[in-house]
Amino acid sequence: MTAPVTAPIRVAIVDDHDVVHAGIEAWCRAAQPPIEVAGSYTDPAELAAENLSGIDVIVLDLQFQESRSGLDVLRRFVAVGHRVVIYTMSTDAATVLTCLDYGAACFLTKSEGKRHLVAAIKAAAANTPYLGPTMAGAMADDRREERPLLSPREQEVLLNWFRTDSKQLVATALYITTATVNTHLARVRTKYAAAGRPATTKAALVARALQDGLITLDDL
Amino acid sequence: MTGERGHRWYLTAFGIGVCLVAVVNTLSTFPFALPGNVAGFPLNLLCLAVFLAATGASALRILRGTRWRLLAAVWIAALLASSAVLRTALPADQIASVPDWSPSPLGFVALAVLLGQRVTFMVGVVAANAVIGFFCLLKGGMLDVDTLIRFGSDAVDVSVFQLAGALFYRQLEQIARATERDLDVRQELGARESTATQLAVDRAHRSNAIEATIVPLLRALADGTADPQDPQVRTAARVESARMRRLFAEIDAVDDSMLHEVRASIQAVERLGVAVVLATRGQVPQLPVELRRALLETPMSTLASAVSTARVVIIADDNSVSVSVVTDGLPGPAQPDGARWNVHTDTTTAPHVTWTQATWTRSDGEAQP
Repeated sequence: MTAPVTAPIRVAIVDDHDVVHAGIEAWCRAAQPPIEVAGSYTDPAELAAENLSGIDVIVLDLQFQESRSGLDVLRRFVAVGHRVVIYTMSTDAATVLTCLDYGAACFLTKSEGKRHLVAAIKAAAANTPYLGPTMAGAMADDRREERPLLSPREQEVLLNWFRTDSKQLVATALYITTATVNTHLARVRTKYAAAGRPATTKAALVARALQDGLITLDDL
Repeated sequence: MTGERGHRWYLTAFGIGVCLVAVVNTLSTFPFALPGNVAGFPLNLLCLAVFLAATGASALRILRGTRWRLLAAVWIAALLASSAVLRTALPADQIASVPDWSPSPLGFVALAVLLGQRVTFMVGVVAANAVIGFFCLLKGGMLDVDTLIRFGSDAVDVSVFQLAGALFYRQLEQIARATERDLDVRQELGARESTATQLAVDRAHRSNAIEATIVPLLRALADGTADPQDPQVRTAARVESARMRRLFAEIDAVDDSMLHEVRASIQAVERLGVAVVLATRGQVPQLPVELRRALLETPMSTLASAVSTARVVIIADDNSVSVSVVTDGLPGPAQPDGARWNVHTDTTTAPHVTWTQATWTRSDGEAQP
């Protein structure tokens, strides 16, 4: 019996630095299974609707040399149902939470690198939740009125994930397994997807979490 | 009112006293300028209003502690005019006979207006007032010797007190100013002295901190008992080098002292090729240097022993600060002063990774540091 053949994930990269394109392409080629880079763009304006057919995930920077706002670009892509992973230098909590509110599948800083980016692209393609340490830090520090209600344990896991960037250390410190750490993080991410403004990508993420039994309707 | 600043209070009290005398003097002499005694009523009432308004304005100025110059000149002109009008309206034979109308009530009101000005101004006003009185006598043909002596005697008797009051206030004000200047100088000297003392204490603490750990290491390297190729010695040297950088960073004047000291430690390991990620959330409150040392000692020692990567995370709010360091090195030594400063330190290890976290929490009832 042979394993079912699945089509590779296809990504488009939008970043105004060539070195970032080169780095992400190398990481995608080395991924298991490999991820196909179907388009590389240094200006979001180059990315027309016809170029996006067949693209599973867009990796998007937020800062462009021509002062084009990455947030506007994100909103435009999300509005037509694309799954977007933000990959940027920006680390401030307000930007992270705004991107999530606009419907970004994941927010990663460039210092979070290969390990998180490849995993985030795979998660976004599968509509499954992924939460990087910078996202966790922003969520743990979220003081907005409309923030989702997190349990004390979820809050603890978020903070320790932000501090350590190591699920193994989080699990050891809290006397739980790494699988439980993953479950907590996925639940937090799904709660954030269910909160705030509606977006197709966020709805898909919540629907998938419900189907997988990660959360129930009562959790939302 | 206590202490050297109390001189200002004496000035205010004296000024208000002069105003009260001016009001009493004005009200007690004005009945003689009412209908029956003089012609020209109700212009006299307008003059009375000028006297009282000038006194009231002077009292307000004295209470506020402000100075005036142009406005004082305006008031003096109005008072002299009013005094002239009133004395012109009096029958000439009464100018030197009705009590206090020889000098008129102008003197004390003018004193209230001119408090704090040069005494020569007051001399000028008193002289001008006497001249006006003399011309009124001249106009009424009352230049007999008896009248002139009575007029002159009354004018001098009252004016001497007014001039003495102006002189006294002026001197008291100069004393107050000189005392305040002395006090400011003494306070500045005191502040400099306490700063110098604090700097000396801080320097001594830093020196002790260095001597306790760095000097023995240098001595061991110098006498050959420590081998520079020994990994333990190399790690100790890295830790001490980072500590010295952090201690030196303590004296820099920066907005966020703790973050500055953490960055100094990070720079020390980055120079050795360690890739460090620094992330912060929240605003670190201003903490005393001893507390910062207790909080940073263990995490920064762990950071200094990093081999290739490190993650430093600071999370803070008004009541707690946590400093977390994850490295691929060994944990730093525990901080002996931690409990004294309410700092709790935890170390968690997993294969090839060490996580040290120090957390300061404000104890119940503890004031802002």
